[in-house]
Amino acid sequence: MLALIPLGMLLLGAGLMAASLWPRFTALAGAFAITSATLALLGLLVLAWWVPITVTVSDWSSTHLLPGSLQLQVAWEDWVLGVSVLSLMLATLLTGLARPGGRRAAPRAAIFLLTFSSLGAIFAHNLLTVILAWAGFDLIYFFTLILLTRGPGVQPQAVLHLTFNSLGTLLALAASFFAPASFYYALLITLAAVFRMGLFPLHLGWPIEANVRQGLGVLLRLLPATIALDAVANLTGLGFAPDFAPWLTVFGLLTSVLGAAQFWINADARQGLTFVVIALSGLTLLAGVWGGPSARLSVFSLILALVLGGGLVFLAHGYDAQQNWTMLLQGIGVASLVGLPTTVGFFGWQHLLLQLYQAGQPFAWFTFGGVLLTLVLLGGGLWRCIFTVGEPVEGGPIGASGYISGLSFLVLMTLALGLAWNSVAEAFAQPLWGWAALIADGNWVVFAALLLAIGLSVGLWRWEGRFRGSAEGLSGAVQRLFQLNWLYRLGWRLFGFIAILIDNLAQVLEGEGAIVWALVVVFTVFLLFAN
Amino acid sequence: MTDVWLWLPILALVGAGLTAMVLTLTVDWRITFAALALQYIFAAILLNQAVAWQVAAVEAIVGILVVIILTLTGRQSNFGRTASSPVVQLPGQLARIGPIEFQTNLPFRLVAILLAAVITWFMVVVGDYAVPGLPLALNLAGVWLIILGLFGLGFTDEPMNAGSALLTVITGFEMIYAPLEPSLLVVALLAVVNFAVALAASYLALLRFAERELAE
Amino acid sequence: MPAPLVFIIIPLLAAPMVYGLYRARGWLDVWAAGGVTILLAVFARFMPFAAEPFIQDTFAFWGRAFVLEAIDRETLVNLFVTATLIFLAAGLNRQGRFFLPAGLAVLSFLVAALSVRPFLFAAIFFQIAAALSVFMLADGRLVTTRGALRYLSFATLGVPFILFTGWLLDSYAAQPEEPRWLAQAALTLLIGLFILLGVAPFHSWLPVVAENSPPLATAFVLGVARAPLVLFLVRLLNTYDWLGMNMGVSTLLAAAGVMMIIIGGVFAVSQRNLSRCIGYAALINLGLILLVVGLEREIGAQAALADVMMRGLGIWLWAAGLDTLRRATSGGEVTFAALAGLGWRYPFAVAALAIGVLSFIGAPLMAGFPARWNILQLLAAHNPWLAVLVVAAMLSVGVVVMRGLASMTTPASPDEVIAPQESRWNIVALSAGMLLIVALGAFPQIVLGA
Repeated sequence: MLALIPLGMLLLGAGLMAASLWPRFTALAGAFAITSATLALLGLLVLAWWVPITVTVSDWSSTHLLPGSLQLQVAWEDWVLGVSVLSLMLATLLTGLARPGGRRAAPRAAIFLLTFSSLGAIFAHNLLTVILAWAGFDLIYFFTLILLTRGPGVQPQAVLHLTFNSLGTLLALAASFFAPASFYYALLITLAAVFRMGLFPLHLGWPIEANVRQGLGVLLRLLPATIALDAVANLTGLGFAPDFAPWLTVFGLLTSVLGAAQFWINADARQGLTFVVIALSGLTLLAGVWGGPSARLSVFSLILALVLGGGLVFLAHGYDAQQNWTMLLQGIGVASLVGLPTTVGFFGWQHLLLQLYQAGQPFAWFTFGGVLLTLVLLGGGLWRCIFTVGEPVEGGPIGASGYISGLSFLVLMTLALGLAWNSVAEAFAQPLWGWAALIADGNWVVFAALLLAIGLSVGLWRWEGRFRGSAEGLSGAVQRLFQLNWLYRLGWRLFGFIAILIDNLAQVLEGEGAIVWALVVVFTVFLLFAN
Repeated sequence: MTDVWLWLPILALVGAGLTAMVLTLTVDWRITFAALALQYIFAAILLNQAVAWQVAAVEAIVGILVVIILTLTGRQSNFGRTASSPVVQLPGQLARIGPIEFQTNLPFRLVAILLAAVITWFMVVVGDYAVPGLPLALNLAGVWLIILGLFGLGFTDEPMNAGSALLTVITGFEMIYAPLEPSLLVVALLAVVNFAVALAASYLALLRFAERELAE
Repeated sequence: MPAPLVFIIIPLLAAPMVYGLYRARGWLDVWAAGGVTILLAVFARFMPFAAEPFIQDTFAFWGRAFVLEAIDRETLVNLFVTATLIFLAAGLNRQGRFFLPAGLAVLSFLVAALSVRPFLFAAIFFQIAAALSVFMLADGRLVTTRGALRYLSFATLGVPFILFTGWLLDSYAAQPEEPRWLAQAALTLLIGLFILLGVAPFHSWLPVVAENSPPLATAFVLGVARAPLVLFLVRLLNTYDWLGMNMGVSTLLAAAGVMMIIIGGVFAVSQRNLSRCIGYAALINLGLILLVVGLEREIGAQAALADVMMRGLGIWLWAAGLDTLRRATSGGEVTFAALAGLGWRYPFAVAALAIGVLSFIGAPLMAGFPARWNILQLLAAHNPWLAVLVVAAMLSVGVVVMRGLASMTTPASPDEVIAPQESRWNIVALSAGMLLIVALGAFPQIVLGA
């Protein structure tokens, strides 16, 4: 039951947020929230003593009717990811102190519930638990979008997001019908992950237009991605079917390049987290497909980079001339996202590029080039993002200290995991790697390419004006390709046409003449089988 | 006198067949109720060949009571006629040739009767589907009523006419089943079924009539 | 005191009393009807069916017996609990004057159908119950009577086949050397069952009833009245070896089930009406029951009964939510266009409607999922693609729900804010229902027990 303590704390936090609606407790809402989040994180940290832990939440088999049970397991990789997610949540609440005013209880309650269901999905031990956790997360996510966000087209987008994710959940359910080692199991789980992560052209379910409080907005983008990419990480254990690897590579590359391009093109980089998520999702899939024996570790690295680095960049308030030293904290976030050495994202980028380079096929080298292009565009957008002037840090000394401590916490995680990556590799039972391996054989080419791409991204940001002018025409094409309205309209019209045909058939068969039709069918069957 | 008793079942068979045809062809409630009442009487006469006269009498009494229920409903709703429509029929389903007004699906109904006759003949006389041990007249009448009742049910959505068709089906079934099932409880329950269907059809007919009056 | 008599007579006697209380203040009729059914549910759960000399499990009447067995207990509890929820929901949005009394009377005849021996006479009681249901299905507020009439027609048409089977069995008993009696008995029984259950082509009453009747009445017919039918089917298969052990019958049941699932799934996806889609969802559920019972007689029957037990809450929530919404539309329409934007004024009703349908089709996390999971695993053991077919059918209903949600959650203007117009009791009841559904989705052992 120890494993349930962090989850219990999160539920307690949500309950306390509801209680804070009572005027007597309104002033204490922030303290309640941070305390609960801290207790949840501490609870998970303490659990390290007992990892791995398995707990049965609900034993269905006790009914003698139903097979299976809901089980949670905290293994080392789950623990690391869980700590990262809770760190992100805590950082969100801490930095939120610097954004006072407006409705707070409902967004905070949503934060707790979203994190609760995310952890449930991460810790799920069997497919049944995964299915229920995904469904729970989708429900909470949908209600959060509908109730707490504003913006044109948010509601249809919320429904589309729920539809795609639910489809992913049902695909996982379908996978449970096949033996775990079988082709169809792997295929269906892959498709489930694809739908949930929003692989191109399914990326339009992401709430691009949602206008919501900054902290909640960050979690609304990062948490679903974390869950989906965690599924990709688990998939690497099964292995991607060779037949589908090329397709996954193509769509993964398209997703990452288009996501990064859209991020760079976007007028307001600070509203571009969705595109960063899309880009990194594509890259993570590529890491899973091409990562070889260390694919899982590579994927994991990129997930952590997204969670921690993305949180650092987008929870921050951008450039602040009064406190320009905070740029260092945000810079570490960018470094993690673009894979600078000593950050948690470095291994993921490096390993992916290395595997592509060593594959020795033109297709892999093309993908190699695409990944570097993604890095340049992503990096350029991220540097621009952190140097864009955002909202000032408010809330007085409390707000400022919350802001700094929240960001610092994420920095600590990013660097600690990056530097202690060998320990993480041990937990994955992966071969340890050393810095010397980076420049051994021909690997230095990859390392150099990575550093060059990072450098180019800085250049892209520094001389942005020159590049943006010449890329205007291209950016329009990229936007059209990214939005794919024409594809969705075509699909919707086709569906509508078929629906009309079916509906007319139903009206005929079930309308006034239904009984006559029934008699005709019975008579026909009778004539056919009379003997 | 003895000849009358010998010919009575045949007359009842013809009568039941004619009433079923009338029920299939007409939509006028008054004609329907009259035909239904006669049908129940003829059915009871036919049943008398195979069951105790008390059971046949119960069937007739139940039938008459059912028709009374329907007639009372009909009176309350002016036999389905509203101010703008003297016949219980939807617009577009009536045609006129000279002074005669008839339903546009009348030819279809006539063909259905013909088809029903063929099916009944095939099932009872030619095929091996007659219930053994029952008089031929009962088999014929039962199957004829069931088939025409089913067709009648398929022709209309109007509750009173559909209810009458349903009652015709039940009557046809009872003609076949009552001689086979000696249980008094089942006989009583089938009577309850008749009442239940009649009440339900009456209720729906009243609602439909009220809806049409409101619409006008 | 015969136990069957308790469950048959009490609702029948309560019906006219409840009718008389229709205009009384303070929802007296609702409390009376709900009180009777909850009392009977408690009796069904805890009262021994046989405790001589006080309680007997058998009641004889005019040569026929009415018997309650242990296997009936769960179905009775499910029957009365679901009926209680529906009756109490009738207090949130007032129904027609006949809704509650007819509902009570229907319950009485459903219990009679469950308990009568021989089983075959249950068909008559099912038909009488269907005739009484007409008074619920057409309440004068919704102007169309088509659904009620269609339901009555099909319920009546199924009865003769089942009754005739009894005579064929008697003939076989008298002439055991003539196997044709048994073959004909199997055929007539299956035809009758198929008509009553709504196997295609006799399924048209399901969507028509759902579309043309008040939601709570639809929930009663699809949620309450179906459960004894499923038990009836299971009982027939268990009692008559010539039926239950017949491979041809099992294949036919399974094939009929597959056909229902395909028809329900195909026709559901095109719907723009949130009432009609529940009819197709019910068709899919019934098809699934036939399929699993056809493939695995004993385990399948247990799985089917568990599935039926968990359905009631979902369809109740759907009905309660939709009933609230349709009163806000002109003419009581429940198409997507008519419901557009209502989520901003009736958020709880919209949420309840969506969650209710999802639970009814067995979507993950909902109360209907655990039993559905069990059935799917049973099917997968035979052929995984059967289970995939069922999931595809569930998805088609899910698509309708999503499209409906898209319509209901899109505001009329960008500045619109959520301003619930449901009554406080409505909000409490719907919220409690939603929470219960999610809780049972994770902890089904609360209901299904050990």
